[in-house]
Amino acid sequence: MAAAARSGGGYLERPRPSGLADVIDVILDKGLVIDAYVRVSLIGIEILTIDARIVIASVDTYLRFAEAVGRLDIQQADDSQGLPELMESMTSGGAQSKTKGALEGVKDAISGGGDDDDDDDKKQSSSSRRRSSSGSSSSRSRSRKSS
Amino acid sequence: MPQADARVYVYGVLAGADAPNVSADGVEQAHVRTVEHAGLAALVSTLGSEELAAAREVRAHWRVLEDASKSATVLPVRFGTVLEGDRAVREQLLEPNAERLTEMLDELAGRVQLNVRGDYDEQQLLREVVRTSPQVAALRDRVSRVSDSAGYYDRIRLGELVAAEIAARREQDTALAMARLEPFAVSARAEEISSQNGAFKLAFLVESAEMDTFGEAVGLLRENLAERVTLTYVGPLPPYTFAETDLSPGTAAWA
Amino acid sequence: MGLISGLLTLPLAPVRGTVWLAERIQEQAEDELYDESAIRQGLLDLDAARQTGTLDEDEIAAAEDALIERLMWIRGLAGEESHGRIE
Repeated sequence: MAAAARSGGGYLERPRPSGLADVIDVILDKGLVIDAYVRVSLIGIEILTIDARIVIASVDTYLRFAEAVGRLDIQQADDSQGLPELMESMTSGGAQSKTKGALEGVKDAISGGGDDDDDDDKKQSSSSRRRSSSGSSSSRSRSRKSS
Repeated sequence: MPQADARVYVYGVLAGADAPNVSADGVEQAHVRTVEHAGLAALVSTLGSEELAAAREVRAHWRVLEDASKSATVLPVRFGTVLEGDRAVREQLLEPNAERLTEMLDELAGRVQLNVRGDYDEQQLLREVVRTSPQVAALRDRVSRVSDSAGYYDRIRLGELVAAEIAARREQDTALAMARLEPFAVSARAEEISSQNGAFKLAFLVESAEMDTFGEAVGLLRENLAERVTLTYVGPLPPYTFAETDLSPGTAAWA
Repeated sequence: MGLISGLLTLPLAPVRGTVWLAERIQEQAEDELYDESAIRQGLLDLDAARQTGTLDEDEIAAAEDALIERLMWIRGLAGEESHGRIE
């Protein structure tokens, strides 16, 4: 296929220059990894304080979650309230598997059946998100060399 | 004159012949220079301290690579990479990997990275999900008619269904965008989506000479997505995403 | 209905159910903290502020630093050793 003769088909767009928002995740996640033998400490935020914030946030979050679902009224034409709180928890990829597990956990709770393995899995998956290994973000790729 | 054994921060690797003049300040505002060996040049700066204030230095890393990429093909190195000194750069990085690095630079020469991402409008997305899924609509209706506590588990189930619908749409839209754009690129990657409203997040390696053709494909895709998905088209970038060891065709099956 | 009274009056809620609920809350909170779109949006907004001159550069840089740090924490990069291998 002669590259020069192809047309993309649409209005020619030029990319806009990248800003920090566009590159920050590739910079942190991508790039050649080199065996460095050197310990470099990257100063980040104090991890200790985060746990306290999680605890405080969780109560508010639950209340908002319940409230948002109750307010749901998508049918109205000029609806300006979606399900922001609901979607916050439900749209991130990890959340999908967690809510599936959540429902199973509920069924177990009601029936009184034990399923500790499920709970452990859920715990592991949520704590493993915190240490998502860089460079392993699931990327599907397709390559071909242009002739 | 930097000491030969002072630790160095490494930004990227390029062909020795291309050694650029980088005016941007490096990490810790240090001067950016090159260490050359085996026809290659590593872009480095001398490090003074034991610890880096990460956030600030990310910016330096970024600017140095952007600056260098204006005049040369640069293989970006992962942020935060430090070697023991100039000698280590030659002996541990450049010498043992000269062939591989040269190969990779050849793969990237004359090519740029372009990123294309799509985002949903949350309101519209939710409305569409309710409209197209009778199960969701029915459950939502039931939930709206009971008290908070009585409908509790139903609400969880509702959220679960909606999440599944959104995940399915993401898959479809990622496939659509990829099918439209990949034919105009040398290489393509679909990245994991980490934001609520994300539809797709794609990275392409494109021949510089074919950027306009690619840009037309992007324009057409934007038209076809209309208001359903907002497209963001960014670049050219140093090839961060393609600075990997294996660019040969046929690797990593993408369905 | 308040959270505590809501918990007490949940139908069919044995002790296990209450523990399960706490875990759901934790996950929800974590999802919010781990959501990167807020960080991205923050960086975009800061860049816009830079263009319009709404804030001065030092303020913008400090705010960007904070957002980047948050992202690094999410990715588990804070305080880590840097090492790897060319494969």
